[in-house]
Amino acid sequence: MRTTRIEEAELLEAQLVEALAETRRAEGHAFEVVALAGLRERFAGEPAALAAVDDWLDADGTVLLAEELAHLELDRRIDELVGLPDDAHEERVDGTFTIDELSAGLTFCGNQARIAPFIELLGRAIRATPAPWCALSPLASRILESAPPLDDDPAGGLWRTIESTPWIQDSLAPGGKLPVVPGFTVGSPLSVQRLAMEAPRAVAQAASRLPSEHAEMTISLGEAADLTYARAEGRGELFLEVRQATERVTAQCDGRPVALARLRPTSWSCPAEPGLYVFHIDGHPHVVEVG
Amino acid sequence: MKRLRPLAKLDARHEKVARHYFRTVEAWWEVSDQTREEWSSDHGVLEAAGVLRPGGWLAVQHLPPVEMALERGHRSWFTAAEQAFHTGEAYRHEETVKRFYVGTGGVLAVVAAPDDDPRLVTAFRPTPPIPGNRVGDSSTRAYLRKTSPGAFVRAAVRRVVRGASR
Repeated sequence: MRTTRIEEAELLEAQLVEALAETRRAEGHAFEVVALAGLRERFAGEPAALAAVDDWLDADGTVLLAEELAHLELDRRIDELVGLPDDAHEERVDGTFTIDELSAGLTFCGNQARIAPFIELLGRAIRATPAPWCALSPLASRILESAPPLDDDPAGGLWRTIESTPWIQDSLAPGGKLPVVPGFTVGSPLSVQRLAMEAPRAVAQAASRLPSEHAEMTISLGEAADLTYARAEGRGELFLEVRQATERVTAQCDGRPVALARLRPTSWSCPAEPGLYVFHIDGHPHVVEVG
Repeated sequence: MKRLRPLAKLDARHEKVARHYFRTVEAWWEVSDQTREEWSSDHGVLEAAGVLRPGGWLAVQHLPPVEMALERGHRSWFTAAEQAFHTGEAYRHEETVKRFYVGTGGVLAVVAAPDDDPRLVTAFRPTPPIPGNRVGDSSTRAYLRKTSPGAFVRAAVRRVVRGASR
């Protein structure tokens, strides 16, 4: 049996050699090679495997890579990650590692600008609803300590945001205190499946962006509602019109509750400020960025 | 080697199956005894019933077609996990008594009490950082990859070694 004390750098080198060989036989993916190279680059030293990747890129690797870069589906991956239910710990960890690896690979081949806006959006979503991410904070600390992303790798900001989620959550909780969770200690490697405080779940499929310079603009929140942004006399206002009457409508902006004024049985309004709004309609979250 | 026990509660089994076995990006049809067509058919039943929406599995799982699809999914999912437990490479962390088994196609089985009374905690396929190709399959909106199984195995090993499953 192997223990996980295997040197991570050593493992990455071995995997890199394997993936490069598969790609040369047209059995693997060029992007996996650069992802592994990017992860290995976070450690000290310049192993022969990294030099081999440079040689491969100089030969036919760059062409293969260019074909794959268009199909990384960064939007779909971020959507899925942001839209996970609070208790989907395994999926959240897996999705975060995938984003981390994609970021490492894109940084290695100088394409980090492709993923930076997606990671920025993800970071804002995490800051808006930090509770489900608190369990990943110790993992983020370990990564930042043992093999931090390079300075120009957007994943560094992502891990730092995740690491800080217990403190962000702390600042959002009533009275400035973390809700009591048995077994939870900030900084410990214990997993917290769920914090006592209910946090909104974000469905990024519904995530849209409302530019605040528009005088009026309406977007659809799936089948649930329409959201209109209107600006008059220098003030912005959001109008939510649900398609089926319900009492269960709440809103948060950047993680803070927003007071909704009920206008009719099916419509509400609130002031529009730049930020990430999460509207909960009948238990389903809808994310809208105003900015 | 001792026999692996499945999750004790039916609800918990169904939740894991809905979350992992029928999660399209995990592509379980590649590593289970269900064909892609069988998997897609069951996935379609669950998707139509709203079981695969976040939190949706609990509300409607007692409908007979849904229960049958979940049960078939559990059988295939558990069989693949069992295979990983018996034939996969085992890893352990110092911080937990759970063990991690990486099996064929990158099936990662997490097992409690592995030496005395091994019980499956969960099984999933960590996603490798490779391009996905969306295919026009309206029933499943599945993703096809020309992926070597090696990419999934490597992703699973990295998840364990980088500490993702403690």
